[in-house]
Amino acid sequence: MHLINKISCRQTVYWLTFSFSVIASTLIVTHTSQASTASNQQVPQALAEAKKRGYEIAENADLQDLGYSDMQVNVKMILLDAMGRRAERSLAVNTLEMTKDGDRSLTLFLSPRDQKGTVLLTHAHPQANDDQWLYLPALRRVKRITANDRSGPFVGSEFAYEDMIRQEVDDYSYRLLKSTQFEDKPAWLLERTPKDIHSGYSKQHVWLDKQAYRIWRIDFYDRKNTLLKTLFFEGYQQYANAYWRPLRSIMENYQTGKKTILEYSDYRFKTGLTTAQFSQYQLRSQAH
Amino acid sequence: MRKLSLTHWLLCYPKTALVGCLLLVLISCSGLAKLWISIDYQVYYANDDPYRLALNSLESQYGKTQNAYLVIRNKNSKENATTPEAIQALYELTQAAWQIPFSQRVTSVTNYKYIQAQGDDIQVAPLLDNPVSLSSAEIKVALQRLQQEPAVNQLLLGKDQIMTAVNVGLHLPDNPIAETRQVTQYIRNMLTDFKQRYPHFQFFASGSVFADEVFAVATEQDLLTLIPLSYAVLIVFLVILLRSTRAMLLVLTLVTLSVTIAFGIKGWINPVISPVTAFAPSMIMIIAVADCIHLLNGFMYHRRQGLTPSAAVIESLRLNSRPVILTSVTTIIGFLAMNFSSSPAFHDLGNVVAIGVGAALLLALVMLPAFLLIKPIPVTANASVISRFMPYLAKKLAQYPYVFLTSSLLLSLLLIVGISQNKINETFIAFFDNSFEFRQNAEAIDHHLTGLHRIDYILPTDKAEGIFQPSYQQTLAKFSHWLRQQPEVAHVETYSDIIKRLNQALHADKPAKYTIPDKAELIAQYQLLYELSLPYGHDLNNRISFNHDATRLTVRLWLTDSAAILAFDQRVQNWLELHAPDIVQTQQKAGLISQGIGIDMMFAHIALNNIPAMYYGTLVALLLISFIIIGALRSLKVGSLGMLTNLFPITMAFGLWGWLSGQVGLSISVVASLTLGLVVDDTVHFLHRYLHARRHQGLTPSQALTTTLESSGVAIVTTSIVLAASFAVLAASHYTPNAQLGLLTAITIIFALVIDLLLLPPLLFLLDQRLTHLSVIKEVEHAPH
Repeated sequence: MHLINKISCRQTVYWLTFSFSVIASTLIVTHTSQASTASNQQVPQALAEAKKRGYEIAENADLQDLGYSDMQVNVKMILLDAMGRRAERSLAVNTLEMTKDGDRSLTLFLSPRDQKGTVLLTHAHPQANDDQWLYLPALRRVKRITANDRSGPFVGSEFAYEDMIRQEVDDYSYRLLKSTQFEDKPAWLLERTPKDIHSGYSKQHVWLDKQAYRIWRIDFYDRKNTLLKTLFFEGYQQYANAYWRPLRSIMENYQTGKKTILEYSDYRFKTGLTTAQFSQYQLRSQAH
Repeated sequence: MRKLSLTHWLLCYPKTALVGCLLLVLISCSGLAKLWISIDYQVYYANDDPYRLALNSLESQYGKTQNAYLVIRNKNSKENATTPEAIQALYELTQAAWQIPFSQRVTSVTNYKYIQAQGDDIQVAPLLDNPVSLSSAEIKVALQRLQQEPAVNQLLLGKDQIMTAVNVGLHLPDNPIAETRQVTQYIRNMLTDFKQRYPHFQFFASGSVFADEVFAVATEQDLLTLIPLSYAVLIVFLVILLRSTRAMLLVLTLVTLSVTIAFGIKGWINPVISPVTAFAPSMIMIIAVADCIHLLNGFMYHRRQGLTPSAAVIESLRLNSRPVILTSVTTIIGFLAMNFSSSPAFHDLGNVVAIGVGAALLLALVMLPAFLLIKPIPVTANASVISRFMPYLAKKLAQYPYVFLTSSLLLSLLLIVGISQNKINETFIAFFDNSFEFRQNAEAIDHHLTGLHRIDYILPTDKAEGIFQPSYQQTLAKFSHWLRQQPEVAHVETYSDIIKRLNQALHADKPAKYTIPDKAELIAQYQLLYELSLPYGHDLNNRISFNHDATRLTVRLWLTDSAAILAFDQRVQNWLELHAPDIVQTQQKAGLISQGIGIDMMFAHIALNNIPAMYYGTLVALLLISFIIIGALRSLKVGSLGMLTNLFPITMAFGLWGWLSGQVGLSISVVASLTLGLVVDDTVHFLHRYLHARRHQGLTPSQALTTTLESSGVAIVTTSIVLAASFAVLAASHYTPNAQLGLLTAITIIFALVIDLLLLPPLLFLLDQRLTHLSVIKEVEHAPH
């Protein structure tokens, strides 16, 4: 009898402690959740503001390039893997500024040898799928690239085609994350989310300096929202007294350990390229 | 002399000795926190293993080869997995698979990039994108076309259409312990969700992450079941043998502490626990118990003779410490010989057990007597069945030595003949018994969809851009055609299939144009066109090297064993040498291995390489142990006789194995060196006692035999039974390599007992009688003290 009493006494103490801790924790949880709902009400406003500022910054960055009219550049692409194996390709890229539509670009493959003379023509469209054609010199024919899901790596590199070309402002929605520093330069950190559902990315983080809106770094997050790769830009120089362009850009893939370096040379602006040169019907003649 | 002073020191300061031992345990305990179970079956391979290096090199270039494989099957056995509802489920599963952590590529029939002509252009797009909008007839047509694709058939879609699958390429970091679990758990949750949404279908998963996981699960199961089982067996035997709960508890404490020290030290040296090492605690316990039994038996014997506890301790130590040290050293040598194995996992097992045996020896010689001095255990009267049987056996042995000799020799010869039945072979899937979901899934998939074994071949050319050469592509096409005709082959994934398909599509889908183009530029430019059409996670980077000098070809084989995999690979080598000499020459020039690459190949090779490695290891152990025993017995003839008879149990066990199973895999191949150190113990005890009787007691051979069997015989029989029974319990492991290791070790120990009782005594008896007036007596007379 004495034993039973002792046990029940212990049990009572146990249950009292248990229920007390349950009540206490419930109280704490409700309290904190109330506190968080209070702060939540301020969040939508702050978010809208961050989105607005983000979009403004992206627009400003785009404005810096306004009126460049056309540009030509040679690109050397260096591919490296985690074990130090190396491959090279070289390209020549011509871009034409369009006022009412997205920019047009011609990518001429100079090497590898068996792909020499191949030309890729892109008509970018801010609100719709881009149009792409490829001229195959071995076939002497222009083929339209019909896939609308083109987020794969460009010629085996760590760049997707969308990472290489100038992006339209309206390809993304934006959010200003913070005002920060990038290597001693005052900079913005923007988050941009691709609007195209076929994009290989869930989001990108972009660092641009406040002085000239040059992009210095982009972090790419894959569809699962994990960091996939980072693109660094180096050696910005000003051309035609207006337009800043990098000498190198380096893409590092964290998941595969591979790296691709683009080395730009011989930038030329306002060389008088015309829309006719960027027509799919003229593609054959551009190859030479 | 030193031992004597140690005994005196013990007598004076038993508590200090006890505390000292406990301190040692505590210090080594700190290493326990560092231990972790490895999920990576790369623990089986040395860092410089050429096949492991080849796999690393492949993965750095073409991406990691890890994958998960999600399968859908209709629960209604009359219907297949291609009904509109099934295809919708597959479509959603494919979409969901992109969210699997570390996923890099996701392919199924619903997102397969089908290449076809579209007017003058080509289209590279899935045929079953958005299947809700398609009628069942349209789905049927699409599936028919997809079934023609070599990349799809028997990988993503079964030939009989009973199963469809999503193949998910994963990119896990190195040593993916937590990550593998994260992935498998994510997939399990995902499939549970799909099972609820699509109750008419079965969803299950396989692939390399699940293979990795099943290794870890097997390890954990072994740790959780084998250790308690070993304890249970030991408790039963100890209670029977010692007839004292306190003695039993004392022995259990000592063994547990030995295991703790061994694993504590392991934590400092090499903190990885592999499935093989999971076996070590049980082994240490079993072996440590033998030491304790010898010392305790001696103590109790002398107590029964009426000695005081401290006098009994001194006597027991005086008589038993020498053979206990001797047998421990031989056991340690046997286990250290596992370092000859070609698999680091077995080095680890050998080393940790060797440390454990060392620790057990120390504890048995210091802590056990110290404890007995502080708190003597009560002694009960004892008269075992075995001790009553021994004089009878001795009498019969002396009466009919030839009968025993010939019959036991005949029996052993009959068994030894079975050795020829053994083949070096390993069946990966049979590592796991049917209780593993992994095995059930793999067998179901093997039945309806594709093979589990994956072999990669890297086919280089001698220059950059060489893969665009039509001759190379032709070879590739011929090679894959030949491969597809081989009976082992379930699926072949090759780059030349894509080029042929592109050529056809660019020629208005004419079937006659399903060929390799005749110009390198065409191939290169078709590829460029194709690559520009590919989305994220479908690129060619896993098939072609980035400077276009090599391609990777993946073969999947139906479930089979390592011997068949190696034989297949050899046929592939022969074919390549005959039909693709350029590729073989380039491989040789670049120092690349020409054999297949991948985990399955690594497994096949390691079983094969381990046999010769362990053969040398066992030989070295045998020589070392022989020297020690000959030295310890101070008789070359008797010592060599003892060693020779010890070859019998091992060869007999392998002979029996040949008759029973005939498959010698990685774990079986280490049994010889493992058991050598154990089985030799009985012989040591036997011969030690026999020579003692002949030399010091001046008994005749027949008298000496009787005395030996009466005294040492009892200990030999009891320890052998304890050891064999405990190892036999390990056969309960669901992880077959461990189960087989336990079983074969138990068999070897039993054979050793039989040999020591039935072959060794008559042989010794006869030899001794014949030589009585010649060398043995001389030797005995001239032997020191």
